[in-house]
Amino acid sequence: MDMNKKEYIVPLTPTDVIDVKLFIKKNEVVKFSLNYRAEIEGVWYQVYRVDSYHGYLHEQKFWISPEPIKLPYLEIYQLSYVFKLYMIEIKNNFKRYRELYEKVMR
Amino acid sequence: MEKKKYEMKDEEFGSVLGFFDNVFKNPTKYPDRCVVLSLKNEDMTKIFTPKRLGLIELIKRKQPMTVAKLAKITERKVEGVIRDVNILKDFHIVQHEKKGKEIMLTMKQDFIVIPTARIMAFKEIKEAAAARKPEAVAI
Repeated sequence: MDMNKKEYIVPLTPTDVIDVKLFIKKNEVVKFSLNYRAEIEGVWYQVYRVDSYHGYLHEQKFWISPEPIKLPYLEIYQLSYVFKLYMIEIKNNFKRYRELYEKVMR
Repeated sequence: MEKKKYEMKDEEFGSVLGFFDNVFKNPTKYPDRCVVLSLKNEDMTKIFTPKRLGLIELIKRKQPMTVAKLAKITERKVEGVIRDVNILKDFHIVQHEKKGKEIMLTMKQDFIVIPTARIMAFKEIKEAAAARKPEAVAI
């Protein structure tokens, strides 16, 4: 069965979006990325990212550093579950992430 | 007074998560690229008015498009077109880019609107059930 590649944009507000990338094979998520972007003073910035690229789960908090933070304790779960978990995580925290990012920009 | 800008509510977000569940189960049934929105039926009709749907269609077919061109084609005032385009921009349906003095409007991808599932309180479910007439049972 072929791999299905999906790319979606989930708008949270006019200036905050989640970019979703999914690779689905046999109804299973085999790879995903979630990228929270914010528009600040007319420019879009990548603020937070979580993905399973490069063979392991990791997040990037761009207000700290672009350095990936490994999430090994989540490797036992199905990726579709981790995907949902982080979708909710971003929805619940995007304003805080944005504030932290803006603080660093100043 | 400043108009309140769109913000995705929790129940709308819940419907978006439901959409992803369906994508996992049956990926070929869903588009490969699009903007995913969730709105209540009443908001859907408020946001996607016939005039705005007309603008979306024009931008999609003849992009990049300017506001002036849109106003001319639709025989509408520029102010009205700007107002509508700004709403579509807030929902990330339309993108704009400044090129010199002109603002170019584009639509990079399609969009999908999922009706927001209404969560009923237990009391509401009981009332709805009580209001329903008992159905005839064939013996």
